[in-house]
Amino acid sequence: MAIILDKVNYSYSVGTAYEKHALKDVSLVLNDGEFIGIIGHTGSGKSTLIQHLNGLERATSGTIYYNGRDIYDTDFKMKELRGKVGLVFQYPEHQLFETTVLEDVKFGPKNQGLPPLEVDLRAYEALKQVGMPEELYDASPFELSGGQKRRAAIAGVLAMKPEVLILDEPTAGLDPRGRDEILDQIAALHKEQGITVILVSHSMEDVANYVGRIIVMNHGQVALDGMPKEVFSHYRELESMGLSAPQVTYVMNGLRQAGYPVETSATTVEEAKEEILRVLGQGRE
Amino acid sequence: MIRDITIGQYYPAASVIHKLDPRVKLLGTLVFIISLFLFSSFSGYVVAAVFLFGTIRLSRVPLKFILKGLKAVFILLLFTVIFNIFLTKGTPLVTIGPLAITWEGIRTAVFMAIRLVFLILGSSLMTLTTTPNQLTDGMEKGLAILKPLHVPVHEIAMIMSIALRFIPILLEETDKIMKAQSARGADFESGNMIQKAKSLIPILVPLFVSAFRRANDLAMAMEARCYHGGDGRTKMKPLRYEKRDYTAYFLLLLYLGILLAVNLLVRYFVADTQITFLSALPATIMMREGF
Amino acid sequence: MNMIRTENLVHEYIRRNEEGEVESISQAVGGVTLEVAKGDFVAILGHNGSGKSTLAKHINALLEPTEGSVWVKGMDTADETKLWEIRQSAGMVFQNPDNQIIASVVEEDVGFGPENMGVPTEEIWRRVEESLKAVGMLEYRSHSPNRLSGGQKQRVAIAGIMAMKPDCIVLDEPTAMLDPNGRKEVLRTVRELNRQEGVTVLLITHYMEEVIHADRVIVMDDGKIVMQGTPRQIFSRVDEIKKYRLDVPQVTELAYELRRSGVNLPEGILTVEEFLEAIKKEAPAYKTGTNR
Repeated sequence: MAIILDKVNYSYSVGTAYEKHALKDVSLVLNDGEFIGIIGHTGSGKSTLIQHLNGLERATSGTIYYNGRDIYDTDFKMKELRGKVGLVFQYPEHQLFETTVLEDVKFGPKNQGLPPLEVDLRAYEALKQVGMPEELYDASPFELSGGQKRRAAIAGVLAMKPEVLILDEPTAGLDPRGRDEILDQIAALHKEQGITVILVSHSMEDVANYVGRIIVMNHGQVALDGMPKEVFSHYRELESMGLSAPQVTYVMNGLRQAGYPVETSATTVEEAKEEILRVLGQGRE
Repeated sequence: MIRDITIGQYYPAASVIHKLDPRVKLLGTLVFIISLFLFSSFSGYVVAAVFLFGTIRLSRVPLKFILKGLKAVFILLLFTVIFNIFLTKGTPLVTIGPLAITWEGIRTAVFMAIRLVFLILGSSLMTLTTTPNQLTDGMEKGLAILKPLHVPVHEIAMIMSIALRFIPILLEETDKIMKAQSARGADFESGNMIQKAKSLIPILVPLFVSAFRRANDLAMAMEARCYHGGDGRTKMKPLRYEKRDYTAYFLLLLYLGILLAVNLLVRYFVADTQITFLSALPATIMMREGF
Repeated sequence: MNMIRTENLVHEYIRRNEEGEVESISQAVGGVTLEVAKGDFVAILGHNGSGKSTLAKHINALLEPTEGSVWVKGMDTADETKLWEIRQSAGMVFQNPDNQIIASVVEEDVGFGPENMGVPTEEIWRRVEESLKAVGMLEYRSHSPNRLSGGQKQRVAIAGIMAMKPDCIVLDEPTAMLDPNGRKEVLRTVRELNRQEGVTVLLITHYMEEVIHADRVIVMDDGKIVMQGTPRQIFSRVDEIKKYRLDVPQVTELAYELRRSGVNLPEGILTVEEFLEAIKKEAPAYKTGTNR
């Protein structure tokens, strides 16, 4: 099963000076169980795109299918879709409102109309999944650190048991360790729970280590779509879009141009190191 | 919907109206509005219309853009007209069941509509041609006479200009918060009044927390930039009357003079003018209640 | 003369309950001694909660030391009569660009600082124009800040500080809320101000790529200075940096890993170009057996 977008267009402020064609003929297949990174600079349409996936924004034209069903059908239950396609926004401050972390996480499942016992169970389970320390369950969400707030926000969506989890800039404002911890946790969720994860980011380096597929958005269109190494091989094009490939891509291509027979497909430091050692080793023998 | 309201928006253009001192525009708008209530006769409205549309022309703001501002108050306008048509006593023209349309009713309704439309056009013209900052500057300087009465004029003006800067930011933030909570299945539409009110909590709490945080940050940023109240402050754009401002004041006086003259003439020559100076007073009161 | 000097600076946040009794004391800065010379570009690195922002606020006299002292251009920040002079000398740019822009028009915001200082009108106009030019935002002078990008807003905030003619600018995580393009814009602006206008810069950040052009890097952890040196010296100590919840640029890490595997590369490589040069020197391409 999958989410399929067929020629989705979206314009806003139509007829005013600020009219914008934010999505142009976007066609995509997002398969079950994938770990996808959506990359693009501010205003590229990436945030608008993900808000279509759970029906928060409605396409001006085109169709979106969730597990084979047109989500714009009159008898399609949009509220159910919101539970199936969980969306965590960039700033946890925009959603945390309850007196305790636990109560806040219960908000989603309560809205789904689940019995109280099930609501409690799901909230505990979600908090455990995101690695929230147990002594903070009863703390006020406003007293948490940046990383902990982010975890609470993710738990708030996970408690709805989504099949697809979308995270908009989950690492914004976190320090390097905090960033790694959150990304590791998300990767673990993908691996252990088997849910589809879509990560929206403007940092290639963050995403390259984790995802299996990268979709690059530019001017409201899908500019590139493929495995990280395929996408990064277009590093010149990425630059023209105001993006950049990870530093190792530049290192490997630089070496290649200088006459070293390296494969340029490395996307992480580890891969680059292996490849350089292989080539240098050859030379020494 | 929010985007349709042109009152409070600024339309940049290089016109003489834009360049006028905000104090002139504030006083001018006030005088214009008062004149609408004092001289309510057809001839008075003709003079007011000439004055208003002449100023609009000078401002180089497209008429269409200003008229869009009326959309937001269309319902109010409609109600005023309907109530006046049916609820004014007098000589009936048409009778529909218990309701009667009277000659006086139509007359009052038309007057009311013209007055309301002119009022809105006049005040939107002011905000369209004056930046919020100029507006607060104008108020600060214009209200300076209240300073000896310990009215914190500078502080009020500062609060207003900060509010104007942050309203669009907070509106955008409200939109984001609503989306974040909708993504968690929140429902803001269905249910009775109490349920609806309760469903606002998940929006209001993050909004207030954020507003307080912003206020805190802003206070610190202002302090870091040496802000310490109105004492010893200079102005980047001090208000100074230019020749054109005196001309504008003169034209304003001229407008009032013509209005007065026209009204007197009409009263003198046309005996049956019903609404004059004095009879305009009850109309003014009615108008207020109509709001 | 030193631009900024702190001696054994301690700052404690005291939390009180409703009755005013002390509930808890947390030490954000624990004995920092620091000197920044005029014209220097100093970067302070540290993870969230390491005390770096608290330190920054002391330099602008927004906070008062619990213990120890801070001097800006020889003025003690505890001296209240010098408060406005200190804030004018050491301008401060904050993290959130929205929450530090006061006016609804770019040029009026830039004029806000000079207005507060009582600068005459003609002089304000001159300064506003100069500052907006210095950050490359002159063409946006009559725009509303709401329609600018994050990077542009932050440049307006910097211009607002420049218009106060400070000797030093303290930037408290100015890029944390920006996208990569905005980050580059702001950094380029800061570097130019340092080089061309001779402004002393104290940049607080947790992004490693941003500090490679600094004259000196200071790493803070738990309210204390734990590492200090040139970027090259700091980045040659990859393991130590990671211990403090920080990171190094990918290319630095790659060079470091290769060194550990026996490739003879110099320590503390900071850029892709440096890396390529070093490899070419150590293992020329013709020796690796290629004929392109």
